[in-house]
Amino acid sequence: MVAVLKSKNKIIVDHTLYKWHRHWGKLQKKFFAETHELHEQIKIQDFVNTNRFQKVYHIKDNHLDFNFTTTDDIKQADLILITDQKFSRYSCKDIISKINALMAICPSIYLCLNRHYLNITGTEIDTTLPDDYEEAIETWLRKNLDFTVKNYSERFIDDGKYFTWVIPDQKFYITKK
Amino acid sequence: MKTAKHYQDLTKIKNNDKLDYLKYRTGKIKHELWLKSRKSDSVYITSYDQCILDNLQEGKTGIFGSAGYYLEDCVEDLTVLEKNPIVKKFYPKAIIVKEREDIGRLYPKYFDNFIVTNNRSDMWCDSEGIIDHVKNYKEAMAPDCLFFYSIRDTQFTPWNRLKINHYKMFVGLAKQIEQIGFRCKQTQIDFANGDGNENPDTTNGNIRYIFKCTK
Repeated sequence: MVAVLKSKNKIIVDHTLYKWHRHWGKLQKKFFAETHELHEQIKIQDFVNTNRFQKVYHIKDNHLDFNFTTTDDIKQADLILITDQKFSRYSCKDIISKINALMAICPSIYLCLNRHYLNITGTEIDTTLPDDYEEAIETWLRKNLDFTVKNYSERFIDDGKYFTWVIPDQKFYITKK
Repeated sequence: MKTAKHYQDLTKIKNNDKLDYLKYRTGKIKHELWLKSRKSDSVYITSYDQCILDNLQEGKTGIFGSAGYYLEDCVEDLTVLEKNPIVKKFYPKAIIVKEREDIGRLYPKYFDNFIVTNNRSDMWCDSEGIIDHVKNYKEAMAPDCLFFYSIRDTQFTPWNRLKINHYKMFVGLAKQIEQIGFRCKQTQIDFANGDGNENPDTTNGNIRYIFKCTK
């Protein structure tokens, strides 16, 4: 018996088939009976409101409805909020460079990193970091940034059902010393 | 309004075919290949599918959790196994299993080729979890069966991506799979280049193995 049939002409599709990301947050909401808000979204809103930030420049890739005032002009911003998943997919070196560049424009950054993307190239290993991954992420940032880094992340073992692909899970408030 | 941290904080809407289909589609992106192929004189596949076709051996082929029905015009004697009952609605030939253990119960030592491509239900576990899944798949494999297995490094948990060598990690996984009665014939591990884009193949998975069942 021959395993491979040749009854139809084959066309190779090389582009990625994934196309849900931009609206993933909205789409997921449809799967559940209750109207709901994401815990992580409320946490960010509370942070912004408690600290009285007035003009937030939001670097994002998927749709999120925050209740605070944003600005389209990064130079006017008093806080840069990063929820863009792409940010976590840069090389570790580039993530640090980009944070430094953004800090030169605005002195406060609330950074959300997706732990599952970090060191996406697989080539930037630091064996001196703690074994615990969440601790290692914080240590890596502190080690490479000459800023104050405050960790706002919550500890949990991700099973893919924590809305991490709507708002990245590792959260840090970065300010000038 | 309710606040949700995790899916379990919310009530899933059940018995809604339209929604079940939407959820299925977002999880099984290769379903799109079937949508395109069924109305066409051509069959749409990925280059990884072509790689599998090039390596298939004669005999019976099983494909699990991979929306594999789009390959029905490419593979002789193909059995499409899925967990989600919604598949039966649009592809009645699919065999729906509740658990992975059911595959071996229904088809003991049956398949000459077994394919699992970027199966979402294999994600979010560590290497021990993967080994448990593979042990279940193995029950359905005939001696010398070829096992085509691919996953994504970004949905594998928990591991310290900043400290552990990624290549060693996934070569190590292949070695662990070998210990339960396989020989690794081929490993392909490709990572993203750090320009902000996803890893090289989010559709099929960027960690790909071909094993031969030895015991």
